[in-house]
Amino acid sequence: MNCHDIHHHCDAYLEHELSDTQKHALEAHLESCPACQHYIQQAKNIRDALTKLKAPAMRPDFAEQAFDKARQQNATVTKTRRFSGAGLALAVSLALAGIVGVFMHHPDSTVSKPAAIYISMRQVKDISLVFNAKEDLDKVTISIELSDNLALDGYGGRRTVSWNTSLQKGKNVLSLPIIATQSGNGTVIARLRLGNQDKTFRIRVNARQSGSTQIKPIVPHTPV
Amino acid sequence: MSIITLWSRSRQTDHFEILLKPFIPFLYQLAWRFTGTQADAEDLVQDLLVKLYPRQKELEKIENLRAWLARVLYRQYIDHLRIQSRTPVDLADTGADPDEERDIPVSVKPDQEHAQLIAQIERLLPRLNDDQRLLLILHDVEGYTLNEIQAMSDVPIGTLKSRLNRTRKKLRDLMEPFPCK
Repeated sequence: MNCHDIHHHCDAYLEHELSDTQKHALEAHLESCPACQHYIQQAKNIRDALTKLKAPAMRPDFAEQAFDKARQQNATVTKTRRFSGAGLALAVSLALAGIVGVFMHHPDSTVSKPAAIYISMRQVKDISLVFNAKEDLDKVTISIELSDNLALDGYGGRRTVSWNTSLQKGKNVLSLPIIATQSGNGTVIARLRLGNQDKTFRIRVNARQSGSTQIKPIVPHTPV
Repeated sequence: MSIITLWSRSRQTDHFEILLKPFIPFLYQLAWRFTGTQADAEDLVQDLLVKLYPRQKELEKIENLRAWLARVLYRQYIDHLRIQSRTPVDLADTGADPDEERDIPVSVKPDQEHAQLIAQIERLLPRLNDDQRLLLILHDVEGYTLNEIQAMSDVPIGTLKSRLNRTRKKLRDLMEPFPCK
């Protein structure tokens, strides 16, 4: 075996894949060739070093952000599909956009708009609310309250949530994954607060044992 | 139209997150190895989660979820490379070495040698072709067997084996040219 053979058989040698004859020939060459000894040793060192390469640690909050974004993007996809089919989300969204648009200019009013949605038991339905802001708004508090027979899917069955957020000028979409835990009539109440301004609206939800989802036409009582 | 994030100050998890969260550090590390940057690694994992979110029921039935996720991530990265280059990734490596550039050997003290070697390898990994680099990372860095890599890539084991040897040889030559003529 010569130096070229060592170059060629280096990995097979390190992985014990050479025949006894090849191995003895290679080792015989190594005894008389310091350069090839160094080459084999360097190959071992590289393999060892490769096993010790570590990727930088992940940002601590990356996982949570990634899951939130996955949920959000999929909710948007679902909403978009329903919009195209003039389905549940679209109808509700349009109605609420009108109500909320009024809210921004009539802060004293607290109006509940009748909107009846029919959903099937144990099936998650995304209800998309569109808040139409006339300008960028900071420190808006949004509260969602569900009746006892409804829950927010994926959030530990919570029925009441409240959080601070900001609204951008134009349409702001909030997708609520609603699931019915018991049949019968229920309610989704959404409250928006901005400073001392407050607006409440209500959606009636009827949970059925089975069957298709429907929505009754919603007629805003206030001008858009 | 903007999207309002649900109650970010009182964040809740869902089944999808509970199922996959234990694998996120592993996926991120693999993605970082593939891409070489934090931003690209995060994008790769993020895109994976977005795609998998509607497939929760399917995920629940997978026995070796870690291996399955690694395979999906790998294929997603390959797709990403294809889109980037607008040409198919050559999974059947020809062994051609267009990169004749070599790293200059550095003389170091014995106690520094190991750290220097690791730094040198990290500097040279981007000089490998994508398929060589991915194979070396999966096999020699992350410890996947050739069988596992075959399942990920659909490349025959014989091809993987010979490519791995060529890749190792190329890395060695980049670090220090073969001393004998």
